[in-house]
Amino acid sequence: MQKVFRILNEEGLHARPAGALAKTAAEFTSSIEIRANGMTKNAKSIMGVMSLGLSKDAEITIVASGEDEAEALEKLEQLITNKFQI
Amino acid sequence: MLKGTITSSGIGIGRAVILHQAENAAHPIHVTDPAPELLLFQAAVAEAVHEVEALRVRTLAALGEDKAAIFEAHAQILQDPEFQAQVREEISTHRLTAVEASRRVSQTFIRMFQEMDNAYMRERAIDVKDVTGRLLRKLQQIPEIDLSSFDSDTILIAGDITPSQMAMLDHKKVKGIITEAGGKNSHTSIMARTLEIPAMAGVKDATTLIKASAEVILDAEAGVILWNPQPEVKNDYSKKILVLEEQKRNLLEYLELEPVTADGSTVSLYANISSPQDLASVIKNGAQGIGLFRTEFIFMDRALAPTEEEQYLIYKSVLEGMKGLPVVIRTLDVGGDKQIPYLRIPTEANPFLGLRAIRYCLRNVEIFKTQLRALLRSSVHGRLSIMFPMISNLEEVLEARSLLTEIAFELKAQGVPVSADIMIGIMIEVPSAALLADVLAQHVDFFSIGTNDLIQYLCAVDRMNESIKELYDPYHPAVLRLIGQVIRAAQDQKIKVSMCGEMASLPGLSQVLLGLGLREFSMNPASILRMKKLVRATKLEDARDLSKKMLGLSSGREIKLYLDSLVCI
Repeated sequence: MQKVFRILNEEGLHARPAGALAKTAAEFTSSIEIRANGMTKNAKSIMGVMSLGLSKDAEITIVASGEDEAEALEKLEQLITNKFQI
Repeated sequence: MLKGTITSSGIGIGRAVILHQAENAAHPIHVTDPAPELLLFQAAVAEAVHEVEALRVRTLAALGEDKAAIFEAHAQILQDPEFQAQVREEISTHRLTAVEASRRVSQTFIRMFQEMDNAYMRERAIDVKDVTGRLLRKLQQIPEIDLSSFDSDTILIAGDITPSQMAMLDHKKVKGIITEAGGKNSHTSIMARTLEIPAMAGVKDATTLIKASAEVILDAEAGVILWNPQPEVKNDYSKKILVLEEQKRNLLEYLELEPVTADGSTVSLYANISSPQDLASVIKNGAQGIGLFRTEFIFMDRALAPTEEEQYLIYKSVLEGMKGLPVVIRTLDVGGDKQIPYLRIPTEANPFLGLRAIRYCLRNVEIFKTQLRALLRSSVHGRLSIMFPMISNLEEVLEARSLLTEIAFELKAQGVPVSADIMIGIMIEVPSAALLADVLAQHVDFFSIGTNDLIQYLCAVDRMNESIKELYDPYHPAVLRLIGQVIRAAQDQKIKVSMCGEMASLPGLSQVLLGLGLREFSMNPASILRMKKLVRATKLEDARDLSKKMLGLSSGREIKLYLDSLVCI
């Protein structure tokens, strides 16, 4: 399953929020990908997430597939809407 | 023997400590058996993660969660599944050594970040470089160097030193700094001068030619570097150091004396600083206040602009530290050679003629307003003057002043106290402002002549360009004439005028400037006592005659020759 989000952080997805996203994604067994700007990256990889170079207002699609995909998307949604404050 | 540019004068002797860039160290590229390399990689990652984790804990305790978070990201980068998979792939399929594989994959990621459109993301290359550098050091068993404590006298040698490295430096044991990059106006150089550590920059191949632990003599008086010297040479230098220390000690007798000329006129000697850490040196050298606080340095070497609260606390600490003595704080002077990536100033063909200082601030009002709010809030903690840099016309003065008034009004409406007697001044460093000084003087409380830029703009000489550096001439008669004109304009309007460039600390010229009517000087704290000695030895009458005579000469060379001959006598 997948869902589209918008990045709300003023400074985009730099090291800290990208780290928070990768860390959260890694808590799940499902494979989780993040798509943006025509690229697809492993959401569990901080380098992958950072390398998308996402600034504020960028649109991303998160694709999760596996047993806990629904939970994973829910948790990631919380994180993104909270501007990555864990 | 090596040569370079003197950025902070003095002589230092110590053992060489070389800050190696692990990315460039020689290492084997290929292996026949990848298995041990994979294990090596695993072990190095574990070791690097362990170190980063220790750093995180230490930073958390010392500086709080915000500063510590970056190390958590560093640990994640090291353990990143993509990064690890790519390195393993390089080792297994291409039979690369763990070092080479890590280097290549790190490079790929660093380049990827560097090529991003967004300037802020480009900056992230630093995080990747920082942490993969650590990994490469582990792989090559290059020791981590703790800059904050050395066992014996040390001469630090590096490609470049970052401001954050400078900030943690062991002042007692570091006797000299040699860098391959940089020039006189880099942050490292300015900090070295404030800390009174001898330093030279632009010393090519220093990190490769000089070996670790070699005994090094850094002669930042003559501009030469020697290593593994003969005993007699070292002896000579040890004597020279004693002489310099003696001179410094002799200057201490001037600490309690007033800066008055031999015929009784009072002169004011202020200090230039770039962070609250410099206050110790300011007080030690008996400055009568701060003539220039360069705030751009609190914006540098970080990921985002400092908040209003952060700035407020910094300004407050400087004002309180000076205990009621005057403090001139200059608003953000960015651009030119001082680039701050997150401010996203586009690449320009002529950055020194481009979006700099007040020009940037008036076009990016949010950043400017934040700084002005912080300054106004801090004003109740001491004697604050606010100074705008790079003014080139009247409109900029009026616009900056009206923003300031607007914010003061807002603050008062919110019940935030603001001092009623803040002085407002401008830098005179652009020829158009210097020529318009009589008009500008009617709209401000003081001028500060910034000679570094004024000379550069007046003589049309890029002061960073080595091939024409002799054209950058503080002795140029046009420079002296223009400065004389600015001083007169200020006197006519009865406003204060001071000078905050390097020019004031050139011996012969300081007398000429006194003769032209200048009574306030702001300089590197370490130069203040020497200047005081000079002021006390000068008769104004002689200085006036001298300046008249110099203005009558027709070339910088003649003026310099004449002044040098006086200094020799």
